[in-house]
Amino acid sequence: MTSAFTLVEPLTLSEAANALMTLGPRARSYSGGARLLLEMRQGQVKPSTLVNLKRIPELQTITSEGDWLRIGACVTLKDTIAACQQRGGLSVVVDAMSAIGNVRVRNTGTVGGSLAVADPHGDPATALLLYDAEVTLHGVEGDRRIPLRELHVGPFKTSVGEGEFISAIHVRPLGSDWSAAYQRVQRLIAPTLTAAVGVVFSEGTIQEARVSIGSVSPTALRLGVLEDALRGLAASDVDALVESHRDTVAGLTTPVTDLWGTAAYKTYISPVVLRRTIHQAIAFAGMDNER
Amino acid sequence: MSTAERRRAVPFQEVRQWEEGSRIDSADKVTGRAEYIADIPPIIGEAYAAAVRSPHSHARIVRVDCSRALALEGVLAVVDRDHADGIDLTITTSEYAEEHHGAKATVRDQGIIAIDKARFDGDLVAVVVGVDQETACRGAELVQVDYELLPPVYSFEEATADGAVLVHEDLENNTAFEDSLEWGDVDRGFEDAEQIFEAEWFGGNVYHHPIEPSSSGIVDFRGKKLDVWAGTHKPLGARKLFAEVFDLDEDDVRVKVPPIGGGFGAKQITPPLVAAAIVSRKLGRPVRYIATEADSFRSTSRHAITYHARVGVKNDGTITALDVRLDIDTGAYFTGAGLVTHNACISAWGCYRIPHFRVYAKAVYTNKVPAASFRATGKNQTTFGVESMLDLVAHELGMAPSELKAHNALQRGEYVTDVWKVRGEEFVADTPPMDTDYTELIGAAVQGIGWDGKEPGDGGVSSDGGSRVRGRGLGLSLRHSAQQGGRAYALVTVGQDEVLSVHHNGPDLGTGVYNMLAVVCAQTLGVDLKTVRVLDPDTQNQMPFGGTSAQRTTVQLGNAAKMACERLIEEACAAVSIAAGGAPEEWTHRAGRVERGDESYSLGEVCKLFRGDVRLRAIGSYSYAPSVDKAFHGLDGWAPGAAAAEVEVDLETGEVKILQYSVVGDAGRTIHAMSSRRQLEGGVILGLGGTMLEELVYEGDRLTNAHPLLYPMPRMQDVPPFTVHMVENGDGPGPFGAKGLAQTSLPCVAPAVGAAIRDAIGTYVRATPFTPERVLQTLGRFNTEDQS
Repeated sequence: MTSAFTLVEPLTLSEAANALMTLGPRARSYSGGARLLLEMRQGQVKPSTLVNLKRIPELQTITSEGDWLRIGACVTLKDTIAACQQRGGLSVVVDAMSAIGNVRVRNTGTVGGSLAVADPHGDPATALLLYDAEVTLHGVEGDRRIPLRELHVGPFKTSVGEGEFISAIHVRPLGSDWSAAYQRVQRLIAPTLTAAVGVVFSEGTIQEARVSIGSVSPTALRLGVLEDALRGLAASDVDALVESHRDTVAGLTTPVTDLWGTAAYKTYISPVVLRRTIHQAIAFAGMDNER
Repeated sequence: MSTAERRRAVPFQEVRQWEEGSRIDSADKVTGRAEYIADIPPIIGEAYAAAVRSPHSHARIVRVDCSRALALEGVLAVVDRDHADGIDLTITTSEYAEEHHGAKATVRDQGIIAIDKARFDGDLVAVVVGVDQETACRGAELVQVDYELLPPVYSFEEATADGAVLVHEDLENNTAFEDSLEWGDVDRGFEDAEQIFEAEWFGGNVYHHPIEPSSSGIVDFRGKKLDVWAGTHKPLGARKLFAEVFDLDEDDVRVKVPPIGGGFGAKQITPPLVAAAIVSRKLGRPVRYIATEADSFRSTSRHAITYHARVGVKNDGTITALDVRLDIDTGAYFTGAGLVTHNACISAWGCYRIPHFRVYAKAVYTNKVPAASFRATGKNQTTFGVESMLDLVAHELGMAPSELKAHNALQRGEYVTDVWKVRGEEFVADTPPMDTDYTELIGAAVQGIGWDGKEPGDGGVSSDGGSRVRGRGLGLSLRHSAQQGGRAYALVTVGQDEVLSVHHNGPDLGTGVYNMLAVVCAQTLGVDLKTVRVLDPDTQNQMPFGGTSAQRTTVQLGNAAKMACERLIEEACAAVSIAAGGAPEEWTHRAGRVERGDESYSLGEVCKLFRGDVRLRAIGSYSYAPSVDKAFHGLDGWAPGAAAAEVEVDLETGEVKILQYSVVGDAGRTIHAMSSRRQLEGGVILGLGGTMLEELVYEGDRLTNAHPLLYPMPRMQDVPPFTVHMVENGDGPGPFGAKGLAQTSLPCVAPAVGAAIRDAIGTYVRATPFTPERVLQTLGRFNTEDQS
């Protein structure tokens, strides 16, 4: 059963940071609490204090900041999906967030919370990396804004410091010349493999490419080598290229054997799903601004 | 008799206005009004129990120290090997303690508490009782147990290897139980064969995973009387169990069963509740035990069974012989080893005419969660085996599987065989004749997915030039009705308020028992369904029943309730003749009223004639003739089913998508149309779990995926579009011609989907679940040796 805890409900960013700093590692901040509650019920974590971040107004808003969309850490997945749909150019974020859990989870779960858990078997990081997303961490020293790729340092490990918490996610939509696709392989509740691809495809060739992959690796990551190799390629050359990068992808992702499958299986399906996602992104080119 | 004539012969009222309506218990269930064990308001003085379980699959228990737990404020008592309060902790707490199907001796090896060693991840080492749940849980964490790790045994192969580690060291080997069934002469059968095929099929361990965790309860021991509230499928079995443990008269134990959130075989009395009763007796106050999800995963599981088969056939597909060996992994304790092994044996021939048949089964102990009943117990894994085997034979002979199966299936009126040997002992094969037309079932099943049952799928050649191929498959099942069902009783009473109360001991596991009883009673008496009230089981009502399992309830309890209502009419006629004159025979019953000439009284009005306290009451009962035959022990009917599936296999990722699914049940007669459909649908969805997704994983010294995030179950998005077709010939032994239906659709899923995959990719995936990885391995797409 869930063990007893003290609930702290700060109303400002600094109150929250101070509370977390003072209470130390036995305190846990939360927003949606979808994952945390499950872990507490299972007795896997027993925080003595929970710090509810949801009452801090800045964490609840979605704002436009120039090219960027700033998503407060406590914005629900559902509202994030709606905002990204409205903004456009963020189709992969929409697809990835829509794949998480079920409607109840998306109504309570938040992007900030999901990123803070740093579960390698997750959707948001793979999707957000495609957009070179950044996160703001708030602590007693104030804000620091870092690239998302620096947030996750390993399975369930983040670079969030003592007294810090994620306060916002920043994402910049892809331009209208881009098209993007998201695919995942799922057997358990959390995905076995996630892949996101964005391309600028014109005149029969890939002008620009972004590729990210997750769940088969300790953290989601961008596959820069593949991105470089894809530029200038015709669609018909994609299969051979991805196949020739099979070992490279395996070397970068370093899949492990776990409940989701053996390392050999993950190594086998990674290029398959990457290739399909690339083709899907190409197929979306010029179809719809949303894509 | 033609189908139409049979249908007319059934005395079922034409007006079935409630057929399409909701079940009588639906509103309570969806609004939260139904009180499950955990919802029952606290009883004054109530304490809470928490379980201390071994985190290791196999370990010697060196030291158990509860002193720190006992020192915690609010902890009231513990039960461990040093705190037994005079109770023999080795006494079994399994509902399977009774002799099952002649299982050698009664094996009583799962005690209340593990004494010398822990034999599975979850074996109960201690129970801590505190003033509230949090205190009990904190106390449980303070119990210090020193373990000396022992190497675990996780499979039939490991358990039977030379020099295998012994799960029970007082035994010579890991064999728990052996069973066999044989008729004809298999050697001759193979001599008669023109072709012989051999293969093996594996159905793995799964957990039932009811939405409400298993084995919670409340025990209240006052003086020499014990009251129990438990979510058990067998209240009278539970009463007997508690009476034995505490040496009480059965009448001094009262078991009440509140609504239950799903069972599938998992809802049994398990050791923590018995340990809680030890403390309740000591303290003289009620103790509640609420199982967590983690507890629930460790209460029971489904057996892992390998079905090795050798089948002989003529070139035209006629079966001449079937020789089966079942390797059964029963987990750490005996529990369901006898029952399930036997059920697997008597199910191993499928639904076919086999002149020479032999099955030998061996169940072995492993260091896994003890395996016991699972909906259609023993049938799921063996049906996967026999159906896949026949599908293979059909493909090898170049026949359509539907034709080969229809050709060999027992026809209506045909018997399995005349004599057989059960564990070497000869008996007249005492079963009813086949009571369905498989050709009708097969036709409806394949039609449901728009298939003719013959046209093959892509056969490994992609239809669209891409990487996805499609295939279709057929699966048949034949479930026998409950054996050793005892005699079922039901009591009905009616008072001045016209409310008809039904007293019984058939727990509703979500299966629709209450609804079935209400409809049967309303139909029999001709009263409005709204006036029928079905009470929760309570052993104090002294209405024996074998329990809600083995799809016995509609036939046995339904018949008992029907007879009770018929007798209630007799009682009403007798009573009204005393109060209003005339002889009882002069009074007739029509539409809920008793009438004589112009005089007409409802049942409530009959009561009112007497003034003062009066309730009319009558008891009905049902049983079939018991038999000395040790195979089926007598049987009141068959329960056949069929299904067809169309799948799409992704050759590059191994993912299998079920495009459409069709299920056919021979209901005999549906009592309530919607409930019957839901039973079949529920069986399919449960079957999809074990077929596509679910498998308990043991690694190192523990069970690694006993967690809702890690144990994959079908979600609504995993449920394919499917059609349900009901065959209703009114030819079953139950009320109005009903048959048991609950377990017919589940066993068809694995063979139907497996055959469809074979049809798509040209080869069989021989083990369930059909995970993408297994499919790719079957296709030889990657080398598992590469894995790091």
